[in-house]
Amino acid sequence: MSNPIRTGALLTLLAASAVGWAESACTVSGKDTFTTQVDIGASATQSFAGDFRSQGVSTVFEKHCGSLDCHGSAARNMKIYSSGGLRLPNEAGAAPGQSATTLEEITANYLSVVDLEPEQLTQVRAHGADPYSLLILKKPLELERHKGGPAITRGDDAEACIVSWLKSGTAGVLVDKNSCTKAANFPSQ
Amino acid sequence: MRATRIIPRFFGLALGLAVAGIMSCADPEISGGAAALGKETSGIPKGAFHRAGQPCVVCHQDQGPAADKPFVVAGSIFASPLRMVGVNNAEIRMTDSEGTKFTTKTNCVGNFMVTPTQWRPHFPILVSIAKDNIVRQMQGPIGRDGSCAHCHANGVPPDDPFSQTGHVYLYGGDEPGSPNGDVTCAANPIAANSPN
Repeated sequence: MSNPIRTGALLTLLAASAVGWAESACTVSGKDTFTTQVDIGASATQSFAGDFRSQGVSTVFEKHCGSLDCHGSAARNMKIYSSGGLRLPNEAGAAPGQSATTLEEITANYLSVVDLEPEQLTQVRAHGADPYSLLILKKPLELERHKGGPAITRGDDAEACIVSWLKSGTAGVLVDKNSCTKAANFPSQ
Repeated sequence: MRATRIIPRFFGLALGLAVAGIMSCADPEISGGAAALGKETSGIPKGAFHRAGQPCVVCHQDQGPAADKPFVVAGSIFASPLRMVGVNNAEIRMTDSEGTKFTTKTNCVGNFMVTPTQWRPHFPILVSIAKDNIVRQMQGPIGRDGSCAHCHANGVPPDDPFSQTGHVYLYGGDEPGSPNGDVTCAANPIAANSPN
């Protein structure tokens, strides 16, 4: 018997891959949606979604934000799922601390991040706005009040990873995988 | 005559409104969380032995009912995943994000607490627990909540197995040589809500 949440997440991933991350975000007007599609392009959108997993961006969010008492709490609006934290309901019995983060969970993390401020993210991705205008950076850097305090610090690998991901695909910017890998080793002993 | 009747009523109303205003300033998350913990266990007075396995910092924080004794990190260490028998003298070894370290020990019901005067950690914190030659490392960090039981909920399995993990335990089963805990303890080392 299929799990409806898992099925939903997979369908969402397929939808996000097919039509791009921005489409679900761009509800302001049909013109905006069309412009965003043209500006970003399907391949860039697929890379943005794919890089979130393949370049280790999700892992950075999981490690820095996703503990059970922070965004790994079911009570948070922006939920981050991970092996060591909150799990998507599953039939395999995977609980916090057991088995690897699943593709469905990474997909859910991606949607958590891009759906936080969809219109502003479109501005960053398609129109070159400053990535630091996004809550996804302002909160963990504590440029804006963050109950959990500074989850990343200015100049560290996590910041480099996330900023490079947000800028990726524009002017030849690639995701800084090296920084993502280093930032995933968190907290270090 | 009339004025002397109205004035006391006015002051009574003003006093009532002031009290209501003060009460409404209480954080409902804290007051609700504290109320949800229920009453004290019979026979265990408030103190270092009470409420083993419960989220300590719900009350022991600024604005909490036990704000006069705030904790930055506190919890309970049990022996087994299936029972809640406190482990006496277990070490809790903590390292914060700036590399400062602090170690404390449990009492005979398994409770431990760290006050802000002892240590002011910068979250996240890495934790391991140990006794004799047994060491157990927590897989993830403590992000910001000083109550172990906030995530390490009681219940075998926890009510929500996808967002909670069971109580903290050191051994795979009973403590070697002390299956029922420290029998000389002033309080029962077996938590009141232990499943077995």
